[in-house]
Amino acid sequence: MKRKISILVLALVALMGVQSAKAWGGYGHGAIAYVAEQHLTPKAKAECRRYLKHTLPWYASWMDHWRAVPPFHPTNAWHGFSATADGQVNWDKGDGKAMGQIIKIVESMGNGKYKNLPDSLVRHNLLILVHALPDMHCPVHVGFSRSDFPQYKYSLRRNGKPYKMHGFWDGSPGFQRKNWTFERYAKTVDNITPKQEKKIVKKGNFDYWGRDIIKQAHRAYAITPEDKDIAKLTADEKADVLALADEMSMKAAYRLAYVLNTIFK
Amino acid sequence: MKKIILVLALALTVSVANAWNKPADEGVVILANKHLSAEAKSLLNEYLGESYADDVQYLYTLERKKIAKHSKEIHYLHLDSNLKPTKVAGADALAGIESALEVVRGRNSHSKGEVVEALRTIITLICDMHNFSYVRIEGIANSQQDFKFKCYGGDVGKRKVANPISWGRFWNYYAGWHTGFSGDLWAEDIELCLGARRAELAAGGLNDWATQIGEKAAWLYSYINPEYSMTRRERNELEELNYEMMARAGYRLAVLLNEVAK
Repeated sequence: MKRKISILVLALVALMGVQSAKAWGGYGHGAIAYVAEQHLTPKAKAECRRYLKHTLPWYASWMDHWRAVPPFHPTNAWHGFSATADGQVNWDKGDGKAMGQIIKIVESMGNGKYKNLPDSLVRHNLLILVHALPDMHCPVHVGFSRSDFPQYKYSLRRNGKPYKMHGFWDGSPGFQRKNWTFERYAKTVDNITPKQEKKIVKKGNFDYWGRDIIKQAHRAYAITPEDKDIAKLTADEKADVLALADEMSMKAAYRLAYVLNTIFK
Repeated sequence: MKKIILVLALALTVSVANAWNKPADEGVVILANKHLSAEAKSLLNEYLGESYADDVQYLYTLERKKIAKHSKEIHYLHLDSNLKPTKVAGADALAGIESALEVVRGRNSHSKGEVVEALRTIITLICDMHNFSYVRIEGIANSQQDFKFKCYGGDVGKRKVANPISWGRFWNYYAGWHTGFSGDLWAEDIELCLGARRAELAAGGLNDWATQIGEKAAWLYSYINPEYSMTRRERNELEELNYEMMARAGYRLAVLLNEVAK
């Protein structure tokens, strides 16, 4: 009997594990891509759809599905970036990882250059942008070196048992939002003014984006310090979690839309 | 201990109460709605109203409430060894659709409740029969009952770990990759991707569709079995086939409703 229970528990854990092994979570990625799509110019939206043959949210988790398949294995490093001790993007680590790749793609496709590239390459670049750009906005996707920030290597708790900090923040856009559609998410969260949007986008200043993401990433560690039991968060703490998750999701969505609008100007 | 097993068993089976999942099934109906004639739209509005959220789960809801008069086999498409439909009355999806179509055709001599039930049955079963976990083929033992096989989380690195997954769960799984998609978004995406192929995907009639589904299912059963370990690449690539089956279900539902509304 004990063996049967163990097998059942393992099977269940395995199924749950497979579903949750996505940065920002599948839901968060889809929601961000959905909001970004609402902010595309008609031309950018049409071009994205022409190359992808799907909506943006459909491909939001594509990089997660393919990251452990051999030809795409190198993309495994493009889901976040490393930070220096003084709060800048560490360009020496993996060529800036996600940030570095995004800049390369924008440079290779911007100013109409995408028209000179094979359709398959444009499509592939879009698949990377729609995932990597939002992913690097996830607070736990900023790599803080162990030597600079030893205090950040910890676990949370859930009903007293260890729970991964990374897993918790990955799923934060969907925190306490069971069965929410992307439409509902957008209606609730996508409500900032054009002036605020301009400030977030800052004309595509990647250095600013990097500094801003790093600064906000520190907040996640303050909101959920070591051993914080996520099953016992107070109403204020839950609100803090959602405020940071939504702020970073919207920044990701507006910046993704900005990049796509710039490429397909 | 029994309680633990019961909870785990429920957790593993509870999501298999749709063809794909609720929003995806709803998306199939919304997709169909985009291609309905004026008569068919009016028919659906008259009997079902504008939301299909409950209609896509109709037979399952009856089962959950324990008031179903049908056998659970009604969700399954049954084919003989030549992939011809066997249509066992009351215990087969195709037979269920055909008898429901008869009710809708003769709607003037049926109560409103009977026509509503028939339309909901058609909607539920057209989704079910296009999901490979609901196809039983004579002579293929693995199609007669759910079975587990292994699925790798990745083909390289630390994700190269194979976990067991059931055949039934596997075909629900893809819709779960798109949690947050509403029925409207599913329909929009399918139309964007496969709308140009609508005529081809909806060609033929019920019997042809059953055999086509059987051919694809037989091919899948020919290599996916309890000893099989699926790579991540294969799993990713099979999503396209699953997605195409959703499109077929939607476009074919439109064909059936347009025909029956005439």
